[in-house]
Amino acid sequence: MSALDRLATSLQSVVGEEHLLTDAAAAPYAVDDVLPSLVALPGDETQVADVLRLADEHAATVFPRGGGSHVQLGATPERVDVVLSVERLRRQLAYEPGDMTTTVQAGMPLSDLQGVLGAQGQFVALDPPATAATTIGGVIATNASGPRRLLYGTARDVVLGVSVVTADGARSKAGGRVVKNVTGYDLTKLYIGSLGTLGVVLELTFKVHPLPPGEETIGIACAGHADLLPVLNALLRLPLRLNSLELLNAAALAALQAGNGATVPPAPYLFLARLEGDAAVTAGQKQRIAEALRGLSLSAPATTQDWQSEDQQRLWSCLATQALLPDSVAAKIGLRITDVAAFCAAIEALLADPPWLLHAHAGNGIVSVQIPVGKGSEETLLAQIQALDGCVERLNGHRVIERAPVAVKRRCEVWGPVGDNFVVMQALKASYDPRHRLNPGRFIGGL
Amino acid sequence: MEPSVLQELAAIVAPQPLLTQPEAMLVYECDGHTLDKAPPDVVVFPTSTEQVAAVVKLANRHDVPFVARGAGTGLSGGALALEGGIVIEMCRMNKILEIDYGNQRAVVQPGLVNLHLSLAVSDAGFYYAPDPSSQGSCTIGGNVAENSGGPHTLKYGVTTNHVLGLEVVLPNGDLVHFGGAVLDTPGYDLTGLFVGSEGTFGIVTSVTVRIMRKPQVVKTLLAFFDTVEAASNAVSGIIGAGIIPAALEMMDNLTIQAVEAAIQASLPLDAGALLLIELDGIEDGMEADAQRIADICQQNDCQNVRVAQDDAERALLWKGRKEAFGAIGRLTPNYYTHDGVIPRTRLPEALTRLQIISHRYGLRIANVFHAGDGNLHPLVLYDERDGEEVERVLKAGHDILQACVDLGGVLSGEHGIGLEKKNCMPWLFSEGDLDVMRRVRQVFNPQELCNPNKVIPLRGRCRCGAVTGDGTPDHETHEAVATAMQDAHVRA
Ligand SMILES: Cc1cc2nc3c(=O)[nH]c(=O)nc-3n(C[C@H](O)[C@H](O)[C@H](O)COP(=O)(O)OP(=O)(O)OC[C@H]3O[C@@H](n4cnc5c(N)ncnc54)[C@H](O)[C@@H]3O)c2cc1C
Repeated sequence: MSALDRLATSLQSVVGEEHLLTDAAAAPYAVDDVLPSLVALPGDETQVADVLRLADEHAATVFPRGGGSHVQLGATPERVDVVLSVERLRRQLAYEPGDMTTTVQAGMPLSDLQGVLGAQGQFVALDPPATAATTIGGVIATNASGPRRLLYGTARDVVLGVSVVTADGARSKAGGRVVKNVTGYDLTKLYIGSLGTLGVVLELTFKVHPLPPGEETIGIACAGHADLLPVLNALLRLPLRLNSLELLNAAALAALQAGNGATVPPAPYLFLARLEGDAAVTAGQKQRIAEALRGLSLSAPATTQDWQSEDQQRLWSCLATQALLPDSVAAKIGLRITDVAAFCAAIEALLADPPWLLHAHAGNGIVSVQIPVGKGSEETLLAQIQALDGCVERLNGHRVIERAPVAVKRRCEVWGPVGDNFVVMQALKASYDPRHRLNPGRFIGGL
Repeated sequence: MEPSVLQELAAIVAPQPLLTQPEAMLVYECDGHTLDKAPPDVVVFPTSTEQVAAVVKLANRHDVPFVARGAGTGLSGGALALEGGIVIEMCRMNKILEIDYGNQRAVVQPGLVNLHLSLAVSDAGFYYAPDPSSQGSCTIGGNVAENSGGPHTLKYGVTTNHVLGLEVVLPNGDLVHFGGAVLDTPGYDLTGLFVGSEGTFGIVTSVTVRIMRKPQVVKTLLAFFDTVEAASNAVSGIIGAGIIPAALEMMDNLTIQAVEAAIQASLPLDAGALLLIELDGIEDGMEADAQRIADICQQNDCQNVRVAQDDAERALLWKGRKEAFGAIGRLTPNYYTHDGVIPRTRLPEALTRLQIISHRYGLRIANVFHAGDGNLHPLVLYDERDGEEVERVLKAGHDILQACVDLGGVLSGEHGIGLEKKNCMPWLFSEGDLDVMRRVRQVFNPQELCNPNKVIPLRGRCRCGAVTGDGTPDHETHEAVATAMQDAHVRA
C-alpha cells in the first residue's frame, strides 16, 4: 500500500467515505489542470484539523480551497496530493447587527452572507468579482477586492479576527470580535492574501457597514488618454461620496456591450463614478461633477451618462463577471494613482491585436489588464506579458498574473520579482509550515 | 554597560551625545504608564537610518537589549527598558521626507509628531486621520508600534488603515522595506503584521502614510443625558439608523465636572452623561443626518442638544474631549487609564459593572471614551503615595479588564498590551494561540534583544494578576462582581 493509499484510508475514517473524492470525482478540483489524488471535504473544524495532521504525517501536500472561483491564482503546482475544500463549512456563527460584526465559517459563500446582512440593511464591504460559489475564505486567502474599495478599503480593513488550522493540525486564533482591538499581534493581516500557505482559515469575524441609502453611477467618456489625468484629478479632488471610480478602455467597453447586455457608450475611455446617497444627495454631487468637467480644458468635451436602479445593477454585475473572462491572460497591476493615465497611454502604444481589455480601480491605482488568448500561441502570449511588464516597470509598479493558460503560467514569474523583505516572508513560511505542506510553490518566490 | 561599548555607541551617533547620568535616566525609566519603572543604561539619539542600524548591530554584537522610544506617551509600558540596555530615542528623526498630494501619500520619519503632519498638509486641504488625544506630542513611529486610534477612528479606522509602507531596521540590524506607495504589494502583508507589534519586531525608520482630503463640512453636536444608560441607548439608536458619525464620544458626570472646571465650556454640571457627536463629509444630506441624530437623542430622553455654531465652539468642545485626561488630573494626584473594548451593544452592562467596581473598591472612576466603537477608557483616580490604595487600584483594574473579557470584548483597543497587560493575555488566548504569536515574534526577533519580554508572557510564566501585579485571575472577586451585578439588576 502506498503512503497515499494509507492516507486515503485514514482520511476516509475522518471525513466519511462520501466526503473523500478520488479519480473522476476529484477532477473538478484540479489545480491548474493538475489532478488531485484526493479531495477531502471535512464537515467540521475538528475534521479539518485531522485532515491536516494526517496529511502532514503522511508527507502529503495540501491545497486549501473555497468555492474554486479564484483557484487559478498562484504558480502551477508540481503535484497535488490532497485538496482540502472547506465548502461544507458554510454557517454564519454570530451576527449582532447592533455591534456591526458577524462571524462566519470560511466556506460560507460571499453572496449568502451578503443576503443575510442585507436583510438587516448591512453588508460586508467586499465586492470582488465573484460567482455564486465564491466563499468568504477564498476572498480572504486571495485578498480579492472590487470597486468599492475606493471608499471602504480591502479585506485588511474589514476583517477583525480569524481562526486557522496550521499545517500540523493545530488550531489557533488571532484578533477578536470587536471593531477595535490591539490585543496581541495582528496575525489577521498576515493571513489575508497568504493564499493558504500558512494555514487553513476556519472562521472569520468581519466588521460590517450600513448599506448606503441609495446609489447612482455617472459615466464620463474621454476622447483620449491625454484627458484621463485631468478628469481623474478633478474627480478625486471634489467633495463627493464616491464609493467606486472605475476606468475602462474601448476594448473593455466593447466586450461589456457585446458580452452581456450592459448598455455602455462606445468611447476610447470611460470613467464610471458611483455616488452614494439618496436622490437629493446624489443630485448635488452630480452637479458638482458637471461643473468641474466644464472647467477642464480637454481635447474634447467629456460626455456623461447616468445609470440608476436596475440598469445600474446590471452594469456593475456585468463588470464583475467580465473580470472573470475565461479565455484570457489576466494581470493585476499596482501603480501610483497619478500613473494610471500614463500606463493607459503606454498600453495603447503597444497596438496589441486583438486589443487588451483594461479595467482599473482608478482611484486606487489598481489596474486589471486582460490579454485575449484566442489563437495566440504560447510564445506570443509570453511576448505580450513581457511587453506589459515593461510598461509596469517603467512606472515602478508591480504586477501579478492572476490567470493564464497553464503552459504560459509555467513559463512566467506569476508574482513578479521579490524584494528585500523576502527573507522575512521565507522565515514566516518556514515557521508556520516548515515541511512545506500547504500550497507548496504556489506563492511569491516559490513559497 | 562596558565603557568600550559606550564608546562605540558614542562614535556611531556623534556628534549627538549619549545620555548615561542616573538623573537623566529618570525621564526614561517609564512612559505614560507610571506604575512600572526600569531605567536604561544609556539613551542614544540617532539622526539617520544608518545610525539606527549601526546601533542595533552593535547591540547584537554585545548582546545588549534595546528599545525604541518616541515621545514616551505610551500607556502600557511599551517604551520601558525592562531589562536595561539601550533606549533608542527617535525624536531627532522627525522630518517629513515627501508629500505627494496627487497620490494622497506622505513619507515621514518616525519621530515626527502626529499633529505636525496634519499641520504640514493642512493648507493644501489635507490631514492625517488617526488622531490620538495625545497627538500634540506622540510620534508617528509610536503610533505605528501601538496601532494607535483616537476619537475619529469610528469612521476612518486606526493607524493600520492609514499606513501603506514601512522602512524597518530588523532586530538583527538589517534594513528591509514593507509595502509602499503602491497598494496591494504581492506577498504577505508585512506592513499590516508589523503595525501594532509594539516595538518588538524592529525599529521603524520611515513610514509611508495615507493623507486624506479634509471633509467639505463638519458638524459637531453635544447631547446631554440624565444617565449613561440613556446616552448608551442613543449610541445604539444612531448606529442602528445606519449613520456612522466621524466621532461618537461619551463622558460621564465626573468627567463633565472635571472638563468644565478646566475649560469653562458651559457644560451642565448635573448631566449624567454627554455625547460628543461629529458628522463630517459632503454638505449634501448633512443637515438631515444631524436632525435624525438630534431626534434619536430626544427619543432617548436627552436633556438638550447643542450644535457647535462655529469653528471656535467646535474647537472648544474638542479641547474638552482631548484634554479630558488632563482635566481629570486636576482632581487627583494620579489616575490609571484603562482601555478595554466591549461589543457596543453591551455598553450599558459594562458601565453598570464599572459602577459596581468603583463602589467595591471605594475608588472614583471617571469615564471618557470612544462609545461608537465600544472602546472604554475608565480612569481610576488614586494617590500613589498611598500604598494600600494602589493595591486597590490594581485589583479594580483587574476587574475592569475581566468585565470587558466577560462581555465578549478584549484587553486593549488602542493603548497596547506592553508590559502592563501582558499577563492577562491568557484570558483571551490559549497557550496555542500565544505560541503562534511567540513564533512570529521569533521570526523577527530571535535573540529577544528588541524590546524584550513585552506583549506576550514568557511560556509557562503566564500567571495573571491584578493587571500589573501577580496572582491568578481572582475567581472570588470575579464571582462577587457577578453577584453584585445581578443585585444591581434586581434593584433597577
Ligand atoms: C494624555 C494621553 C492621551 C492619549 N490618547 C490616546 C488616544 O486617544 N488613542 C491612542 O491610541 N493612544 C493614546 N495615548 C497613548 C499614546 O499616546 C500612544 O500609544 C502613542 O502612539 C505613543 O506614541 P509615542 O511616540 O509616545 O511612543 P512611545 O510611548 O515612546 O512608545 C510606544 C511604543 O512604540 C515603540 N516605538 C516608538 N517608536 C518606534 C519606532 N520608531 N519603531 C518601532 N517602535 C517604536 C516603543 O518601543 C514602544 O513600545 C494617549 C496617551 C496619553 C498620555
